[in-house]
Amino acid sequence: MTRLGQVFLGMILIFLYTPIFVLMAMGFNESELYELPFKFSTRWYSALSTNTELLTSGFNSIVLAVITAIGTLAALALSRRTFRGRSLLQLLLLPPIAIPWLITGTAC
Amino acid sequence: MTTVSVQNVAKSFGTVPVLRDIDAVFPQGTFTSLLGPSGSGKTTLLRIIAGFVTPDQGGVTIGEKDVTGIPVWGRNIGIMFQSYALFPHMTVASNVAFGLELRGIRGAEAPKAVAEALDMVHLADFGDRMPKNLSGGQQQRVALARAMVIKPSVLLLDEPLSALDRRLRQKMQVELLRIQSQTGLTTIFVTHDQEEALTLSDRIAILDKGRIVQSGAPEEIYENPQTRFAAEFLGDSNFLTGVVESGAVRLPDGTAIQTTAPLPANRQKPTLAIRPEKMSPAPHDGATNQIAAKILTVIYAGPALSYLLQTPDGTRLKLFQANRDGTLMREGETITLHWSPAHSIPVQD
Amino acid sequence: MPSKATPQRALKGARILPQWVSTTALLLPAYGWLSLADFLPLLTMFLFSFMNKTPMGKAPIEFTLRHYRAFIDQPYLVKIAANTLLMGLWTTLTCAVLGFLAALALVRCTTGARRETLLILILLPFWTNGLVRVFSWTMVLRENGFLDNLWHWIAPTAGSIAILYSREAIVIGLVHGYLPYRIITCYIALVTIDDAIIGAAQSLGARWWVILTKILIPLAAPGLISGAVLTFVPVIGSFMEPRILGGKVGVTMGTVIEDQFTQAFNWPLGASLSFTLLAVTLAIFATFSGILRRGTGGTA
Ligand SMILES: Nc1ncnc2c1ncn2[C@@H]1O[C@H](COP(=O)(O)OP(=O)(O)OP(=O)(O)O)[C@@H](O)[C@H]1O
Ligand SMILES: [Mg+2]
Repeated sequence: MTRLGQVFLGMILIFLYTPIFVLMAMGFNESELYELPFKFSTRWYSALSTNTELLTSGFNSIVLAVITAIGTLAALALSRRTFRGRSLLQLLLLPPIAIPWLITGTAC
Repeated sequence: MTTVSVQNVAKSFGTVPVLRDIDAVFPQGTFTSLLGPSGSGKTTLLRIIAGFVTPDQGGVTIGEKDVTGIPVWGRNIGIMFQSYALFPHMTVASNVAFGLELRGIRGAEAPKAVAEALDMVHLADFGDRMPKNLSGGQQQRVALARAMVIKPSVLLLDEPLSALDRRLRQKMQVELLRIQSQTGLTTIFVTHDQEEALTLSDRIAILDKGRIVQSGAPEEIYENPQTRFAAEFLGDSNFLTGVVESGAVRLPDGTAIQTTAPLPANRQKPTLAIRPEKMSPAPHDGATNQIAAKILTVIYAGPALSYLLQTPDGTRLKLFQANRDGTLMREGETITLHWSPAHSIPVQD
Repeated sequence: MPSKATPQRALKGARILPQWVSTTALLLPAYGWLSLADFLPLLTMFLFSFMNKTPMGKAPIEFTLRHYRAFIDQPYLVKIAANTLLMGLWTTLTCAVLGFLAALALVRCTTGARRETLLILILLPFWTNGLVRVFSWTMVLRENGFLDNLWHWIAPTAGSIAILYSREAIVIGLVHGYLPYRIITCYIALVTIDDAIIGAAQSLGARWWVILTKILIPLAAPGLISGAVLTFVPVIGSFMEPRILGGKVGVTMGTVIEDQFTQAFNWPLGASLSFTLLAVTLAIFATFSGILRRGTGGTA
């Protein structure tokens, strides 16, 4: 039984990591179109190091972390406290999840 | 209503041996305590009997049946855990009925059995409650009813009372004894509380470092401990070491100690165990088995007085006295201790 | 349950501040941010959804309800909606089964450091960029892609197993995105169940399927259901996975809505479709929260 469970977890990990490893491997592929057969090259990784867009996204990630922290505070209040309007506030959390993010983006 | 026996059981976790050479018989209808310090393997032995743990070698029989290869669910055991382990999403009555359902007992018979079981633990009116709305003692009694209702062949308890406060624990001990003697169920009770083991058990098995060092009736073990560990773990004990000379043990200062128990050959160096309450302060009258000691500390404990003493050669001794006339002896006084030869018990180290 | 915890908590804070102050302080940043980044735009969109055309240029704007009749006027939308719901259902179901089993395996078959490593490994893919993740799947699933090559290597004579641009591919991509989250929520629900409870059930005669159906699933149910809702809801609004992995079959409500914004430039229709989707979602949520309250209320 224990063996079975561990094998299952191994399969889940393979499922989760296959695309990621394939992508990483493709980074070493010479072809621009992710074509097989595979030809080794570090061309794309060296291109990466001079990419300024990446620096911007680093900043974006920090912004995201802050927003996540804000969300955690609210989750704390919503799960631990009872107060009037709690259900309403909880309900208001749904539209941002349910509506494709593209739309909120467009409206800004 | 079944004898349980464990033959030649050993168990290691990784490379660490946890149980070694365990042979034990739990006779039909007896209440046996597995007593030992933390980490001595009590829980592991109980879990082997229950079937949660497979021993590396040896086997378990319950009644006539060798259950070594049978999983937990096929052994028909009742078990109680320290954490109550009630099913939190079921009412008290459904908790108790759980085992009955699995045995295909339904219809009118099941509620009747559930009611009887709850009545036995004085919780007849609590059937509709959820476990979280009960006190700790009540939850533990539901757990007992749940274990008993399936009419198990053996009841296994792993420190079921240690989460309860003192008063409640004593009340539950009485309950447990009453129910056990009414049903005549073979019961194995794990505890590291020697007092609990003494008051509850027909038999005690003392475990140390994965071995059963002594087993027998509480009185038998208390009066005749075979090892220093047993003498120290069940009750309190003083230890004196000397050399055997012409049928007595001569202490380093020359005092001869008599025993009634047989002693090893001359020149051997046995350890003698003497219970602190078997000693008494005695006048100098030249009798045997007496030793001078200075009182270091007096502890006043209400009904009893306890003294910590030191002999001239530095051995520490304890003396327990019933409190008849208050504290008569003071710190710093030197007194003579005396005891009967029957109370010097040679023990193995 | 929260109401029980409140008095003790309140005691601790009572000396300094009344509780509503701290509650407000905890909630304000999040809802402040939400109003700026979500509610305001959503409100604008809600207004748009009643306009006769995208409010750009000088043409006069009229208000109309006709976009909300889209499902009647354009019957093909009903089929798309059904497909979308089916996609949501399959993804949620697959995630639920795999997530629960994986969490169960974590709790019952692993211990200590190994379990912690596995948990981190499971969470890591969750933090990779969604677009990148979906795109990687195209390389795995397409003809002459990773899987196909692997298959040809194992069985050289067999046909292709490429499933890119199919509903299965969409579900695989979506499951990949949400599975880590589901494993973790199931894990949290299962790990809090005392081992002794399972031991007690076994001693009473329960075999594994009884333990699974009578103990583990009921005890984990609140976590399972909320996890399912929180997968289903974003999945039926998704458009990236359907578009990239589904190709021609990947027309879902999400992509239709996206098209209204980026291709057809019909914002009012896109907006009204999103709000219809939101209404359906809220209905589903309301149903399940009702079940939840009854399921976990116990004696209440
Ligand atoms: N599943 C396990 N894996 C590894 N080691 C274990 C396991 N179970 C018990 N042990 C080890 O076996 C030894 C005995 O454990 P056991 O629980 O039987 O002791 P115990 O006598 O019941 O102690 P306590 O009074 O503290 O409950 C301990 O050293 C413990 O660390
Ligand atoms: Mg133990």
